[in-house]
Amino acid sequence: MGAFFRVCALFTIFCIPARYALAHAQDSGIKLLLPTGYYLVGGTLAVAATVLIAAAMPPRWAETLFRERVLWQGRIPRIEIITSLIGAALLAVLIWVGLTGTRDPLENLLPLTVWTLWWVALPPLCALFGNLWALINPWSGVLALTGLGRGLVTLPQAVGMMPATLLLLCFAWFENVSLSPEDPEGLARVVAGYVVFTFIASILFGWEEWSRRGECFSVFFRFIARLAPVQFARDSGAVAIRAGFPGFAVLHGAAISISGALFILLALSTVSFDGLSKTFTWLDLIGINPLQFPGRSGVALPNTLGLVWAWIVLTVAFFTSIWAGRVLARGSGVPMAGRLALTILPISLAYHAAHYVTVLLVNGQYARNAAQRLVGVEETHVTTSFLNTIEDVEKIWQFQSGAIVVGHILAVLLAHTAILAVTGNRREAVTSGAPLAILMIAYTAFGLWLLAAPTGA
Amino acid sequence: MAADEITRGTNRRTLLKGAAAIGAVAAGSQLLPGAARFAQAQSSAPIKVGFQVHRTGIGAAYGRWYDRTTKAAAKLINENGGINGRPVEIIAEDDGTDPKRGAEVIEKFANKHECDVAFGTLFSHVVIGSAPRAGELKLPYFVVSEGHHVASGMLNRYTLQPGITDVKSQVQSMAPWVADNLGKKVTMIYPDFAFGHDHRDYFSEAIERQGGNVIAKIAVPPRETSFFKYLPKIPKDTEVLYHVMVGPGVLTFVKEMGEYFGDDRPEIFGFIDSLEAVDIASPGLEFLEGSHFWEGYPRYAGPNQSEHDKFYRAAVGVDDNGASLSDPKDISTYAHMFGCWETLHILKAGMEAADYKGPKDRQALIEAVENMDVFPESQAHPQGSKLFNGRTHQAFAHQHISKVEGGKLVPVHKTSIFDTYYEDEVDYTKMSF
Repeated sequence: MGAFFRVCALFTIFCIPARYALAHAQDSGIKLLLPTGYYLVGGTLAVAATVLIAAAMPPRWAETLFRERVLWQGRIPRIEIITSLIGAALLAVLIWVGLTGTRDPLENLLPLTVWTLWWVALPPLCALFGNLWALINPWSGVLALTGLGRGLVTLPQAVGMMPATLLLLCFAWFENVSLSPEDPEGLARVVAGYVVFTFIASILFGWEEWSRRGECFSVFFRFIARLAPVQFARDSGAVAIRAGFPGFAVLHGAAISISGALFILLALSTVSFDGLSKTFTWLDLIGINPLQFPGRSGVALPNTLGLVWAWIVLTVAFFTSIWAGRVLARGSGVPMAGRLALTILPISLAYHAAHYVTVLLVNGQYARNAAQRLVGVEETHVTTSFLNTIEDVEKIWQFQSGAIVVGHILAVLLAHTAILAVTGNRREAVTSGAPLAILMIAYTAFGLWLLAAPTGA
Repeated sequence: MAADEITRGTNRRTLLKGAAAIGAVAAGSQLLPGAARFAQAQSSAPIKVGFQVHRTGIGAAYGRWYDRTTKAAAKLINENGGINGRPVEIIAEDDGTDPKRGAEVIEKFANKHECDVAFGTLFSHVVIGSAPRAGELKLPYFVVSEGHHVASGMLNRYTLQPGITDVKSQVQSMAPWVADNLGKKVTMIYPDFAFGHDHRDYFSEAIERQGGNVIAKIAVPPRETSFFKYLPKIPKDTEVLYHVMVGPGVLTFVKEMGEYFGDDRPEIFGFIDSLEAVDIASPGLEFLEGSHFWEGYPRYAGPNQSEHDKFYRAAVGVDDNGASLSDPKDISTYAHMFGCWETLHILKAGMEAADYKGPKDRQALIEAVENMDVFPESQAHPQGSKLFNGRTHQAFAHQHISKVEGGKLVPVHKTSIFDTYYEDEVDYTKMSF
């Protein structure tokens, strides 16, 4: 009978709408007062102008812009073993805090660390300073020290990066669709489970292989770190430090596989869909009153499908643009998808920064408070006034729209340079790159629209 | 509220059981600074209060202030000896502003954290999703939601709302003053779903009782973010425009209303829910100057500020403008969050009246609260005196109407408690435990 009543209760919830629904004007409301339409047009035109400028400029300019310079070569002790061990120890403590500490996700250190410091703040830091995750991940140190990470069987080449891609999809679902990803205890179990799973996979396939094709965060942060203006590379003990214009490393090195391209497209589509899923447009599409958001449990199925749908749409759009470029240029036939997918990385980072900046501004304060509690300092009250005042919301909007436009401009330049490097012919580069350039211009407009759109979730 | 008003109400509505009850509850609700500390209790184990809070999801902006108010109230109660000599421990769980998660949280309170009671949440759909589980688990569930779902009889004996009035009370209590001071020909503009429909129905009925009528009802589809096409539907002979727009389009609505009307406009009346936590002096809201708002509890401390309001603001860390002491631009959800403070104090009074010792006394706690009928204005009840109807599990309280003057909300009217009262729709005391 109890189960029957629960079913009846849930039925009641969705049939009798909440009387007191969304009643609070947030930054989305203030953004509606800003001239976001001008930004949308201006930003899109700026990216379009970049396409034209890139098409007109001499090929060597692009090459010069992204030229790499070796800053230093030499030997550095393997500190990454020590830092990884420290990372593992800290994570163990955090999991313990998640299981036994306060139940409040905005006071417990585990969700604050995972969702704010790690998932929101670490990608931009990696894009600035290189792959910090390689230093602090909890696996490489333990595996190196114990000698367990050499691998027992070979991970088939045919699967490419699909294990990492599917794991990233699971993570995106956990973050954006599951009912309570911030619950400290639930998160502790998921994190602990993933850590153990990765240890087992690394022992089985070897850390080197698994971190390149299976451990989705190692793959993600390695990709993002290719945008950094400084690159560290270790080759049998010797370290080389190279520097160049942000994104230069995208152009230097081997092309990635189709599954790698799928991974990058998924990283972009998930953050795009997270934004889209909160808009009036999406809620209306799935039959939800945007002023009466029922909570995550009420949209789990459409948002699960939406997450995959967004990935498919972006993938189809990307590969169609590559195919169209080859047809248009009647070109050399060199496969470009594995190179051009990398040029999407700045867009992915830009969406990440724009999408999560308010989370960082608010939850960053909770993280500060948690640190204050740790050291016994009196806590500072959290404020969200910057989401309710027009001057501050305008600054946030300018940052967000600026990030989207700059990300796309960099992507356009990288894509053009990547095609030039293969074809060596400006005319062919412009023709074959045109469909992708159009896609990038369209994605700029979409991104700016997304950030300005009214939200109800 | 004057004591004679309570007494008159008692006679007229048989809501109260008599002066003895008033005295007993009043004494129970007083806080005695420096009272004997926790050691006097047989057990010094804490009273565990499961705090169901919107930490994430669409209610997070409210949850932040509900959390702050709850912590301040618990701190005060503990400083004054706790409940029955035992300290209060607040165990916060995030409900994600989701009904399914809300029910899970209730289960955690009952089975994992072994809480004595559950308390807290605001959004109606979370309350409606959680209350059945609280009833099944026989866990007293004190909500601070404003919804009419408690008094309508939709929930169960374990769910109570003693610390805040419901939307039906709030809306109908506005009608007498609006009819007498702003006008009797009213046009309502509201979002076209249940929230707006409730306002439409409750207010239409109430204004007709005052000899007025609603001459136009303009329902705006929820997805709209521009309102120009609806404004011409406002009849020219409208004396009062009643608006309850919510969501991100609110500010645009105000701006477009200003552009549409210019200086020639009817009187305007709204609910602060539209602009809770938003600075009334924000650019774009100038058009609201001279208009009126319902407030559950006046955001700005006026010249008639009570000592209790002064104390409450200081304890929660709110200044005279309703903003955080640590950031004058951080406007609180002042019209609602007092409900947490007051509900925790009612919980204390109820537990002490029931001589609550542990979960086996949960029924006695419910009965003790059901037997309460008045909460006099005090440090425990800074928003003002309240009448509590044990049969419907719902409180009734003074409401406020404020006028926007110089970018601030200036209180101009305080309703009688009886303006908020309506006939019983349920008698929970007849339901078995």
